[in-house]
Amino acid sequence: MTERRKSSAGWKMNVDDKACYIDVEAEEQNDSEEAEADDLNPENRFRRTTSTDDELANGSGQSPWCDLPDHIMERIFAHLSIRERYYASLTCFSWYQSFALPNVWSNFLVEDETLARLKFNYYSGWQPVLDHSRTQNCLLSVGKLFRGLDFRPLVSFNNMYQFMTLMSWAIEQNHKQKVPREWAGCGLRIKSLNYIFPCNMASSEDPESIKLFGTGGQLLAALKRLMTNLTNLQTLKLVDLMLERYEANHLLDEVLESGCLVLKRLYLINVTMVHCPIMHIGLFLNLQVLVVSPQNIDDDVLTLLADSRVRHLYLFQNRYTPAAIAISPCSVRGWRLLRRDNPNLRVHLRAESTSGAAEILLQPEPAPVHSMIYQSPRTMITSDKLLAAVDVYKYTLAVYGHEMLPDFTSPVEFQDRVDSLLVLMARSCPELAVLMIRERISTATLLIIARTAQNLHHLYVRRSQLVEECDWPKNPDWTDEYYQWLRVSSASVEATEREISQILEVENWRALSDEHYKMTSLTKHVDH
Amino acid sequence: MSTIKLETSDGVKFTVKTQVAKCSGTIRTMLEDIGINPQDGEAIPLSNVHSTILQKILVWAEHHVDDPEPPREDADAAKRTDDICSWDEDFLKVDQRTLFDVMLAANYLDMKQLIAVCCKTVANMIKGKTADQIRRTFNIENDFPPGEEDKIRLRNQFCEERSR
Repeated sequence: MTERRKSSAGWKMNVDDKACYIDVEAEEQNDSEEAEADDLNPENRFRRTTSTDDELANGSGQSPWCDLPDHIMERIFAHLSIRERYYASLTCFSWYQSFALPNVWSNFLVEDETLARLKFNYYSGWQPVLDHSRTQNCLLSVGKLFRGLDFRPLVSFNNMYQFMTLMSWAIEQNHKQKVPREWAGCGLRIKSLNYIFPCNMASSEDPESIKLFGTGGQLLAALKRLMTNLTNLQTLKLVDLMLERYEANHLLDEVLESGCLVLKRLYLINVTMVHCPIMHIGLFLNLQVLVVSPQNIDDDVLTLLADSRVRHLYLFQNRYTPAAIAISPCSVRGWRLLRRDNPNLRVHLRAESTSGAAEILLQPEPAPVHSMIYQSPRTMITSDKLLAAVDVYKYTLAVYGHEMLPDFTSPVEFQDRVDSLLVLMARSCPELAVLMIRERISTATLLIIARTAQNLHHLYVRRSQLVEECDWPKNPDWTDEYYQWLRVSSASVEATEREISQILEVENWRALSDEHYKMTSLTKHVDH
Repeated sequence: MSTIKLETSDGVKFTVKTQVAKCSGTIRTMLEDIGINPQDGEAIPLSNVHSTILQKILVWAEHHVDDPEPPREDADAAKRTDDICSWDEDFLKVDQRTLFDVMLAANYLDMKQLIAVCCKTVANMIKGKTADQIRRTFNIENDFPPGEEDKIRLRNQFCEERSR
């Protein structure tokens, strides 16, 4: 394996055994230029902006709807299902041409019913079964436009298996000495692969006893074959595979061989249910973003990451990740080494859960934790957890928050609320730049936080949870002037908003409506 | 609060809050990158937008001015069309001509969120219809050369389930 990997560094043998130079950077640039050109093409944007009565009123000339800019038609078509795209393409010549625009097919979604026909099964009734001739025709027609494949099975795993096998076969035609002309280019532009396994399928009837299934066997073999064939893969996302240890250890063998230089973003969420470090993730030479569950890393992986170009390491826990107490964090030594040798790496801790209360597994102190984000309706801020986090990450923590609306009500009394904890956090964490608070706090607390946190730029709070009150007793450290300002400014939400706009130096800072809060995501502050 | 003036193709001048006007990428670029100074009192000419449409678009921008930046488009969200908020749904309950003009003006003004919601609305108008029904909805004429239609139908037939 190492032999081949070495030989592929920069130069690579192509199918005819001729050396060809792989320049990933340049290729990507071309792509983004292409995309930009599409967007900015003046002909597209300025072609026409108003219609005249004539055109829409009667039959003189074609409907203006046939004359929309291509990039708009692409977006409209991308929203349609495959069959709906077909029917739309049959209306007129212009829409027929829109059917085959590249961005219509750039992300190809494979679900249970995709390219399937219904077949009667004695045991389970009518079932969607992948239609081979349709799939083949689809790949022949638009396969070369695919840039991303997205597998979202629910129950029909056999269809996924069949689709992967056909896709692999089509790509493999391009590796032949003489490429059949009809298959030339099919699948060769695919740069991203998503595979989200519905491991809770048994739970639909009895949600209390979630029975977890992993993928494996033939399906896993087909997935691996497909990954081997996708030699331009830059983003790979495998979610909730829940493999056995022996399978997990070899999951990325082939990907590493074919994508060692190319892969930039790797998401491996819950490859296993148990502690099982995956060494491969430290070996991709150009990997920049790694998202992995904490049970799949250990000190050895950190040692490899210390020598890598990874800039963002997300430790991601979802509802299927074993509870924080059941996983052990990496050691102080491992983190210290990582920090010394890869000082630019940032760690992001994220816990998601739709049902239970997600808790983040804390890594020990030298871990350069930049962000802590919860997305779970039941997770409340508690003093022990917040204090522990502040204690270990106070010098690096820049982003902290709870996304989505809670399904609990915050306590009403000042001493039961989280106000003083958040102020403590603002005081202790000099790097804190983004704070997202969904629990009830007072306007005075908000003002104190804004004044205390020196580097705060983004502050998200729910207007509905703001108590218009100065419920802080005067602190001996505060000047009379400061306390006076606090009392006046906290008297109304509007006054607080004005003051915070000034402190944060943003035009028109506002507390969010619940609807806006629900839509707010902290991802944009975390990822580059 | 600072305001700027906009002048439409039919010569109507609008005074608009700067923040609202900046919902338009085109205007934002003019103000921030090219450095047009709004204090001069000069109106920014929008020679491609009619006053009735600009008025409508400003209502939308006013309503959405505080919206958080949308998260990076993920494939899932990009494909959905059932997530149009009810305000936008009502806003776009207009005749086809207005919808069309709003869409083109949003394109000219580079308002990504408005374009997105217009595209979703149009997609919803197409969904679940046969080719004939779509033609009737949008008043589209079948302009395939005679005889070509069958060929074209065959070419992409993989899209349609075969009758069982």
